[in-house]
Amino acid sequence: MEEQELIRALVAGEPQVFREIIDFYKDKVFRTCMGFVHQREDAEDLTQEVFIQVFGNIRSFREGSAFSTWIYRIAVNASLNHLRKKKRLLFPTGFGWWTGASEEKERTSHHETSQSPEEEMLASELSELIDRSLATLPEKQRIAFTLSKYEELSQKEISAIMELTEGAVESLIFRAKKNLQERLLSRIKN
Amino acid sequence: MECSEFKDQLQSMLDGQLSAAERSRMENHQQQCPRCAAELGWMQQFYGAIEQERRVTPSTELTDRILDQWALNRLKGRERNLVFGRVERLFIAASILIAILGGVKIGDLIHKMETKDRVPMELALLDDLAMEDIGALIEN
Repeated sequence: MEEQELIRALVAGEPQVFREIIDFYKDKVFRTCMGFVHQREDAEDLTQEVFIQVFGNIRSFREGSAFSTWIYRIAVNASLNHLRKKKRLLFPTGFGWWTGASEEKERTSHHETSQSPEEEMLASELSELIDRSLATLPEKQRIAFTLSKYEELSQKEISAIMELTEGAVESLIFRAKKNLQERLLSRIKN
Repeated sequence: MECSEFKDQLQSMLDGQLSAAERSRMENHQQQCPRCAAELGWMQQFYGAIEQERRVTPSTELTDRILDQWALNRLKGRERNLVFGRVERLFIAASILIAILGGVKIGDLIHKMETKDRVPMELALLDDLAMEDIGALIEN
């Protein structure tokens, strides 16, 4: 079934298309969530949450508007809510960025188990570095950067998701990259 | 090329937006300046790590997990509706019964209050007769 047909069937409430819808959008949703949480398990839980929200709220989807925009928006909101909850939980001890200590000692690697322990450790460290660096960005810069880098969406697509002008998105991505460069390079100096 | 210029152009280089000439100038500086070369290496490592994360795929069972969770949620929702529906019906029946009983009781109370204040007709008649008798006695 074509994408438009699938969406029409979903909006019409035909449960037999649910599997096809998941298979069609699963990777996009997962990658978006991964761009915010950087851990496979969390990204999978969020992907599940996103599809449950999509199926549960399909009546509120306005036919004619882009389904992918709607689903990306749900994925971004679910990821941001997850990060806010996590931040609240970590707040008493969550100053790892400043102290250099790990925020999560029991962090599990999202990479394949075929990697050697050294490779896994490096991958895990880099994953933490990405997490900490992106966490310092203002929220809008973070969203625009993540959608651009992880999903490789165009500025037009991002502007539709974030309900901003293309110019505003371009500026957000530019500032996000500039900020990341400053923060990352200041880490070398220290 | 100065280090500050290298730093300014660094992001454009990473984004692949430099011309061949600009790129060549950057590479020349990089070979002469170990600090700038280290900074470029660090940034490349960061973006390389992002690229690596992009390639992570969800587990194959995720689709089934989502469908199972959706089915479970629907079941829970139906159970909740069923229980809530029963409780709701009982609540409505109980409310109607309470309203009827309350109405009856209030009516009864009003009736009692009204009869308490009123002088019975028989007594009123007797009083009139007595007054007439007293009047007759006075006249005689």
